[in-house]
Formats: sequence, C-alpha cells, structure tokens
Amino acid sequence: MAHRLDDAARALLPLTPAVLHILLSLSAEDRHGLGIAADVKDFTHGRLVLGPGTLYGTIKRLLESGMVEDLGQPSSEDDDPRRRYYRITPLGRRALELETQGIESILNVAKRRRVLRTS
Amino acid sequence: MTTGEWLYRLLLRAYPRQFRQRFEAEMVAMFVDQRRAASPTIGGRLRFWTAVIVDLWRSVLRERLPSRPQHDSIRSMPMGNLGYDVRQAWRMLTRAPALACFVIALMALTIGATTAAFSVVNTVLLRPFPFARPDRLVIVWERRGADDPRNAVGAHEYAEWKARAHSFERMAAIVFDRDFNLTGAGEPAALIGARVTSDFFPVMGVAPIVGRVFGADEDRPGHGQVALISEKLWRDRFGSDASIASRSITINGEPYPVLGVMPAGFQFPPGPGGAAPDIWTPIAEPFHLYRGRHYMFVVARLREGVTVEQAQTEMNAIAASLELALPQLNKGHAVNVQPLHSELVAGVQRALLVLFGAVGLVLLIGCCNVANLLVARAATRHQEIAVRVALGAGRWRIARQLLIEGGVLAAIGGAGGVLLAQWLIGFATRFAPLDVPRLQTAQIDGRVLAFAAAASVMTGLIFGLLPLAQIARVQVSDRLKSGSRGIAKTGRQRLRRALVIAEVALTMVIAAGAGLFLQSLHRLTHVNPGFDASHVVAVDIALPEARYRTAARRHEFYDSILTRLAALPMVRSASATNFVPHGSGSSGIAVAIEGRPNPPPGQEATASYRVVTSDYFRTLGIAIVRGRVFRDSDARTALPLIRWFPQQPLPEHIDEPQTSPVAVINQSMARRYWPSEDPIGRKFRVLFSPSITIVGVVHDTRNHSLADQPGPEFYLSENQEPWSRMTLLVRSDKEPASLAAAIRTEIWSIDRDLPSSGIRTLEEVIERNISSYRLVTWLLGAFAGMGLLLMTLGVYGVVSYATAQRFHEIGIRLALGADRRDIRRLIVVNGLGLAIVGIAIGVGGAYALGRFAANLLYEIKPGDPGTYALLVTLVLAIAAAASWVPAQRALRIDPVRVLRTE
Repeated sequence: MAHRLDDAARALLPLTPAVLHILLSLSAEDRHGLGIAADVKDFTHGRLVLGPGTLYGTIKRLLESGMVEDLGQPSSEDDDPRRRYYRITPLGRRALELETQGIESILNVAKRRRVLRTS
Repeated sequence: MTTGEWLYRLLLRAYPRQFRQRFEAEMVAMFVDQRRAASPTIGGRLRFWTAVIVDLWRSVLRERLPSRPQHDSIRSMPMGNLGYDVRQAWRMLTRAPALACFVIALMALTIGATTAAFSVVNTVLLRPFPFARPDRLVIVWERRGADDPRNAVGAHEYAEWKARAHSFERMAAIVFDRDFNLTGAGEPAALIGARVTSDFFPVMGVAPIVGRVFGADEDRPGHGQVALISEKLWRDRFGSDASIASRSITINGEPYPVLGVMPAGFQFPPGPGGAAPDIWTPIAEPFHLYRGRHYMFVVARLREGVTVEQAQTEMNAIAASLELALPQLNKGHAVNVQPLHSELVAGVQRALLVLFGAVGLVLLIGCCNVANLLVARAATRHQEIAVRVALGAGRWRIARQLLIEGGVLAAIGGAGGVLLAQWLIGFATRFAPLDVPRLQTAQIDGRVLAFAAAASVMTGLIFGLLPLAQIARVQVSDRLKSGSRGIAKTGRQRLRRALVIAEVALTMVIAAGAGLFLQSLHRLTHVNPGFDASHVVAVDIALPEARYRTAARRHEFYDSILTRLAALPMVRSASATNFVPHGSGSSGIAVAIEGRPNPPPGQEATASYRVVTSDYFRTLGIAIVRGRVFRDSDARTALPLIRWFPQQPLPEHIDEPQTSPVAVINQSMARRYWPSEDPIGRKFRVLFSPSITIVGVVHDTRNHSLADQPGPEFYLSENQEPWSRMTLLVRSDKEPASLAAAIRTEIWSIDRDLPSSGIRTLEEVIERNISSYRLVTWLLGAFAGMGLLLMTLGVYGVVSYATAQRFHEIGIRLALGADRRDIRRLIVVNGLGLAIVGIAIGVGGAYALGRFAANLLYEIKPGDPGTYALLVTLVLAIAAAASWVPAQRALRIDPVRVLRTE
C-alpha cells in the first residue's frame, strides 16, 4: 500500500513552482485560496505573488490529481461564504516530501561544493 | 460592483464554462482583495492590471489547451526553436502582406497616439518637479469662504504664520509686483521675474549652477539690489559667461550685481501664462508693517513626518487666533494648505485625463479591429492548422506559433508606434500652449518606452487571445473536410459581432465627448465679449521706477505716446489700460459705497477695476449706456488715488488740494449696488482712497475670460491714477501686424531704453486664453475621427464577411424572385442591428465621461440631448453606409452561377 502511494506520488514529480508552494502552504494547515496566496507571499518574502488565475488553475489540477481535497464552504459564521477550504491529501504530502527530499539532496551537494554558503 | 470588478468578471469569461462555474466566486473575491492592497496611484494601478492580465492570460491558455502531452510543454521545448518560429511567423505574415501591413499600421497608429498622450501625462502630471523632495512642498493660501479658496496672503499674515507655525521646516514668500526691464545687454527686454524672501531657495531645495543664492542680509530693507538669473537668460544674453557672478546687470536703469545662475529645469514661480522666470531678487522691504496688504504667495516645506492635513489643522488654529486678535483685518480669513505638485498641475489635470482616457478608448477600438482581422484570418488558416494537427503537431506548438506571429506584429507595430509618438510629441511641444506646465520638455524616456512596450504587449495578448480561443476548438476531422460549415464558424461570427458592438460603444463614448467639447468651444468663441477686439494691437509698457518715479512723469509718458500713435496715418484711436482684457491681471478690490452703513468685516462690497485713458471705450467699441466717459479735462492729480494699505508711505504733495476723482462703472455694478436708483453722481471709496464720483455707465464686457459672466466693474481715469505698467491698445484700419514696427519706433523715439517685446493683437490675447481648450477639443475631435474610421472598418468587415457567407442563400433567393430591395434591406438591417446595440451600451459610458468632464464644458450639459441625437444619427448613418457597400455587392450575384455550382 505504501509502495502504491510512493509510485503514485513519484509519477507527479517534478512539481511546478506553483504546485510546490501551494502544497507547502497547505502542509501547515487547511486554508482557503486567499489564505494560500497570502501565506506564499509571506514565506517567500513577496518573491512569489500568486494571481487568482495561476492559483485556481493550479488548485484545479491539484484537485484532479488528488493531491488536494476540497473541504467545501467554511463552517463558521463569520467567514466569507464565497471561500472554500482546501486540505492536502496523503498523496499530496508524499509528493511534497519526495520533491523536497530531492531539493535537499541538491542543496547538500551545493553546500559541499561551496556554491551555497551555510550561514 | 466596481468597474474593476465588472471588468474582471468580463475577462473571466475567457475561461471554459466549467472552470468558471467552479472558481469564479473565489477568484473575484481574491481579485477584490488584491486590488484593495494595490497602490492607488496611476503607476500602481497600471502594475496591478498588468499583473492581473498576465496571470489571467497564462492560466486561460492552460485551461483552454488542456490536452497537452508532457513532452510538448513550453518549458521542455528547446530555446533554439524560437528563431525557427520567428522565421516561420515572418513567412506567414509576408504571405498576406496587405493584411500584415494594415494590422501593423493600425497598431502603430493607436500605440503611437496612446504613447504620445502618455508621454504628455507623464511629463505634466506624473514626473516630479525638479525640487528637493518635491512631495514635501506646499503652497499656503489665504481662504475667504468657499468662493475664494486661493487668495493672496496678507504681509502681516505671512509674518505671523512664519513665527507661529511648527509644521514647516521653512516658509518663504513670493511677490510679483515689480517689473524687471533689462537694458544694456542687447535690445531692452521685459524680464519675467519675482521677488522672493531669502528662505525661498532653501525651501525649494535647489542650488544655483553658478555663484550663490542670496542670504538674509541681502533681504533686509535697503539691501535688496542683487539678482539671481535663469540659465536661459544667462545663455541668451550673456553667452554663458562664467564670470557672471562678478558682474552687474541693469534692471530698471539701476545696477544689480548677479549673485548666481539657477539651473535650466528650475522654473518656479511661473510668471503670467505659465512663462518661466528669468530673474529672482530679494523682497527686502519691511513687509510686516504692511498690515492688510494682500500681495504674497507662500511656499513652505513640511517638517519631516508632518502631513498636509496636520499642517492644515495647525494653520486653522493660527488663522482662528488671528481672526480673534485682528477682527478688522482678518475677519473671515482662513488658510488653505495645498501640495505644490497638485497646485501646479491643477489647471490641466482634468483636461489631460479626459484626453488620455479618449486615447485609451482609441487604443481599445484599435485592438478590437486588429482582433477582428486576426479572427477572420484565423478562419482562413483553419485548414492549414488542421493539417498540422493531423500530422502530429501539439496544440501548444501551434498556440506558440500563433503567439509568436502576434508578437512579431506587436513588436513591429509597437516600434512604429514609438516613432509616430516621437513625431507627435515634437508636434505637440512646438504648437502647444505655454500655460500647460512643463509640456515643452515632453520627450520619450524610459518610462514612456516601458509604457509603449506594455501597450504593445497588452494589445498583442488581448488580440492574440481571441483567435487562439477559436483555434483551440479546432476539430481535426471537421477541418479536413473542406467547405464544412461547422459550429465554430458561427461562434467566430458571434465573436466578431461582439467586437464590432464594443467598437461602436467605445466610439460613442469618445464621439460624445468630442461633440460636447466642440459645442462648448463653438459657444465660447461666439460669445459677444462686449467689446470689439478686431484690428486692435496691444503693446505692454513697463516704465522703470527709477526714471518714472512720480505720477506726473508716468502720465506725461502715456500722454505723449498716445498722442503720437493717434497721429499715425492708419491709426483710428489709441488708448491704454493697466489690465489688458483677458490678460492675467487680477483686479478684485473692496469698495465702500457712500451713504450706506459699513458692512461687517468680511462682507465688504467688491468690484473689479481698470485704469484706462479717455479713448479706451472708443478704441474697444464699448457702448456708453448712461452719462459720459472720461475726458482729458477731468481733473488731473499728481498723486495715486488708491492707497493700498493704511501704512503705505504717503506720497509727496499729499496736502495739496485734490480735485474730485471720477469713475465710470459697468451695468453689472450699477445693477448690483444701485438697483433702483440712478448711479450717476453717486460716490464710493476704494480701499483708502478719497471718495470717487460716478460719471457714466458703460456696457458690460467679459474682461476676464470668454467663459466668465461679467461682474461689477469700474474704470478709473489714467489722469487720476497713473500706473507705470500699462498696455497700449491701438485700433487701426489695416492689418494690425503691420503696425508693430511703427509703434516700436514711436516708443523708442520717446525713451530708447523701454522694452516693447510684447506686441500682439488683442485677438491673440483672447485666443491665448482658450488655446489649451481649443487644443483639447481638436485632439478629442481627432481621436473621435479615428474611432469613427476604425468603427466604419469594423462594421464593414463584419457585414461583408457575413454577406459573403450568405452569397449562396442570396443567390437562391434571387433565383426564386426575391425583391432586390428586400435583400439589401436585410443586409443593411444586420449592420444597423450591431450599431444599435453598440449605441445603447455606449450612451451610458458617454454620459459618465461627460459627467467627469462637466466642469470643462461651457454652457452645455453632459447629457445634452441634441449632441446625443446627432451622434446616434451619425453612427447609424455610418453603419448603414458601411453595410450598403457589401449589400450592393451581394445584389450583383448572378443567380444562374450560384445555382450552377450547386
């Protein structure tokens, strides 16, 4: 079963930058679209600003591939009813894990070869 | 819903329906949020919308072209293909050179016009002025009620403000009350200049390029005879002499040591008509003693961290305490703090934005047309594309190819647009009116180029998107069957009809704006000003203080020059006035009517005034309504009549007996202040003058501008109130221009050191006042003309295409005996239908534009039914004509041939 999940996740690699950042954002907690965009902008220090088109286009593909699930409308009263919440699935989490492991191994090489200075 | 949100929803329609149904609400919510966070400046909005459209466009492509095999993505494609694609695009374009040329010309025209307009907006409105931290500079006005928010500041007020206010680092005063006649350096010239306090240059934060600015020492009473000159004066008159700072120049016959030269870009404060100043000298007078003399303009630099609002609040408190302390002087005098930048561009901002909006609409219309052409061309290429798809080309590959073709068109069109813009800007700076600040310096800089590039890319994307959306639906099997009339074709036709409707609507908006402005201009130029300006030459004279110190000397000069001029053979009459009609002199003054109780402070009666010589009314053809005008025999005084403030030093001979001064008033003044009695023989006083007797009433004239209704006004005789600065007005039988040389000779025969550079006709003076308006109107008219032309092409293209699709049907109808007139009507109605829908949409937009421009319109309402009726008729007529041509062609179909091909 675990193998099946790994195979399925591997087939989704490499992740595009938008996918990677959205999954990274959802890995912390369930969020709605605007929340994802704000979080990504925040943790990339404004380097990546997701426009509505890119964000929802990517979310659509994430839903289709099963990396993210749609939680539907918010339950609490005070939230904007137009917003829907999204949650990362085990498949999405595994794909994110594999992708970041790949990045980490590259980073390690870069550090060893002094391309990237460790501070 | 805001316009932005509406537009975004419209743009979202580019997505497939399923995507829209699922995500539209969330995307709009996010759009609204991001827009709220975006910077509200023009630049910020531009950046925001660019980001929105790029984002939209990228994801629409992905959604529209979903069946993308992994290996065919743009990212995995080798870059080496780009060169191939560009060559391929070039081949495709040269295969249909006429179409390519037309598209490029259209793009160059629209991008050129938009870029030129943006360059003007950038230069005049957006670019910061060349002062240090220009955003910290403010102008501080005196405000007198809602009607008069920008009054000159009283000398005592300036002194109090400077002492009390903490919101400003520094504060400086500017006065325009002196003439600067330059002699001894070529022909005598009347320089444009201002007197400023020593704080002026530190406030502006501008250093001279040569020498130094003056300090507080040189700004003390009795020490003010030093000058700073402009770079232009330095260059033109002194050959950029590096040792200028150790030389003196002769101003008004007296030596002024030059302290320094100000840089070329420093053109503040602007003189009459927005002219750049040539000279700055210290005020150097004990102005704090001049209580109640309102002659100052105040600039100040805000202290770090203080906002304009905070400064306004502090100044309100100071004004209130001054009002309490000095009720006689300061009752009703508030303060108005305004950012310098907006004050400098205020006069032209709205007109420029209207123009820029109009140009933007032309750009959109041009886009619609280009998109229309490309949609039509895409139709002819379906076959080719279907073949390539069948041979295994990925859709991304084809989309990329089409995009690059669009990109090549946009690049060439954009480059042509920049060239055109360069030419247009050159044209604009050569013929543009002076009073648009900084327009002369308009040029293509990095920001303008970026704008042109963005406009090209945006048009490329907008019109590239539409044909692409059509091609995405290509069904290979469908397309390989030649001559099939698939669903895609009707979809395409629907898209083209929508584009034409949009064109008609946009054209309606511009044309309505142009129509309203044209009518305003027409009404404005056909207003009867109450005087006859034809065949009158105006010559400015400024007698230097040193040689014409006494009133008698000044009067003597004007008396003799007018006598000499009147004796010239072609001259009918000659006169002089201190404020030439429609010139920049302002002349409102408080009057007290004798025999009436003094009104409470702040509610004094006011009237405009002019000092004129006896022949003024005859020279300008102003009708006398009652009584008489001035005579040479009106008692002559050796003293000025009006004392401007109680502390003004008394002139010599003040105790000699004065003969009764006289005045002529206009009808408005008679009606306002003597509504039910005969004003002849009544008396009034002006500021601190003796009482003045009314001897006549003349017809109202529009002395300020054509648009302003005449108000109360009185005339004083030059015999009794001799000014040093007057404008000679000379009426002749001949072409006024031929008089200039003769007038100059006469002036120099009396005083060869007097400058007389400002010779022009009175009609030119009036024209100059409305020249910006005329320019805006003609530009709007030109844009509307462009819009109408583009719209005509659009309607023609769509109707003739639709007709061509129906040739077969029409042939059969004709064969079956249909009436040719019926068929023609069918086709024309098709075109008219498009126009009517477009008009219905456009009228709303036109009204909104009219409302925005309402205060630029003269005696016409933004919803003027006549204008709209005319426009609707015009647009319908154009649509009918544009449909008529294809209809005629359809009627020439030979039914026999059609049936034979069946």
